[in-house]
Amino acid sequence: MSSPQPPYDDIEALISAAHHQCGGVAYRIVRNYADAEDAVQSACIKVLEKWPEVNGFSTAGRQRAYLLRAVRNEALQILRKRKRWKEQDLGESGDPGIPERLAELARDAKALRIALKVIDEMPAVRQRVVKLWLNNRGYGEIAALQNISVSTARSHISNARKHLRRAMPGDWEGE
Amino acid sequence: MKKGTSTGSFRGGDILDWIYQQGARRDEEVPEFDVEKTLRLVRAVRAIDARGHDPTNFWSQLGVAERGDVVSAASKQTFPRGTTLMREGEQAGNVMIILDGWTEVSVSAEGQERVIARRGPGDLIGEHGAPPVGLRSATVVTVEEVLALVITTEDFAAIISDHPSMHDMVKQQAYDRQTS
Repeated sequence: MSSPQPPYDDIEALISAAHHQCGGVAYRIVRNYADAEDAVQSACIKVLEKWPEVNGFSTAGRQRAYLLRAVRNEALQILRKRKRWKEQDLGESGDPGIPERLAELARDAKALRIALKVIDEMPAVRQRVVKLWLNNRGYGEIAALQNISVSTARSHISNARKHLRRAMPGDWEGE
Repeated sequence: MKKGTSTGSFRGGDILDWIYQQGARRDEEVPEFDVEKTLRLVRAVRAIDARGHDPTNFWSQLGVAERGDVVSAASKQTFPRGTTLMREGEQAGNVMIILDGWTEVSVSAEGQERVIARRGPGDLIGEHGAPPVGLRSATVVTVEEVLALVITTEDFAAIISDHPSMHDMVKQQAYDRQTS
């Protein structure tokens, strides 16, 4: 197992490494380029303000996670601001799309957290098979990479589905 | 779509397919963002900070919380050289904090434009136009490419009401500018 990447000693290195991912996080929330760019830039300035603290994190992964959280918070703030504008413009009717979108994001984020935790707790081989599958690898390729048969690879994915279905909270299913 | 069938929320579908689709959508849809623009912004803020605390410089006087609110409320815009950012007598819709580049501030007198000041990194401009005044007291033109935080007057007023110390800074700045 590889050791974690040491922390970036300069914020510009962190931003350069994580910028595309930051853009992705913001874009998926606000769904337009200009606002996503604004969210990323705001987050980067805020992380700069906190750099003495962030610089002391033990790994690059923690620094990246902190930046991504800042981006997400900025993007959500833009979404809330849009909602306020809509409410002012449209009166009490508002725009039902934005609160629904916020709720959907929160619900999806929670589901994703739970699911990824469940995957991380799977037996090592199954975990690797699932991660390869999620990275768009075919069953044949997964089998070759893991030195298992194709049917075993399929079986791991099938069992992972069942495991996940059982592990997810009841109110997340069948709606 | 290679894997799975559902496209939206994972509800009613398979959680593994849904996770995959989150990743697939991520790869397909996200446009490329200009990292150099972001780095330029960060470098500009660092350059102002490197000069240390300056009682005449608006940005350098702001605390972390105040900066955070300003940054969140602002759009970050770049203006080419020769752009009129504000025009004397016009209705004001925003204030700006310059992060990089220089501008000239002028007023009209007897039909002539007279340059009265230069404003650059860290300076707040357009605050005279913020409510309740509402009208620009001077014209501001960029003399080189300028990078600025642009904040609507309403948002600026809201930030000031949340941070009363900023109100004092703006008042002090206005006083200093009038008496310098």
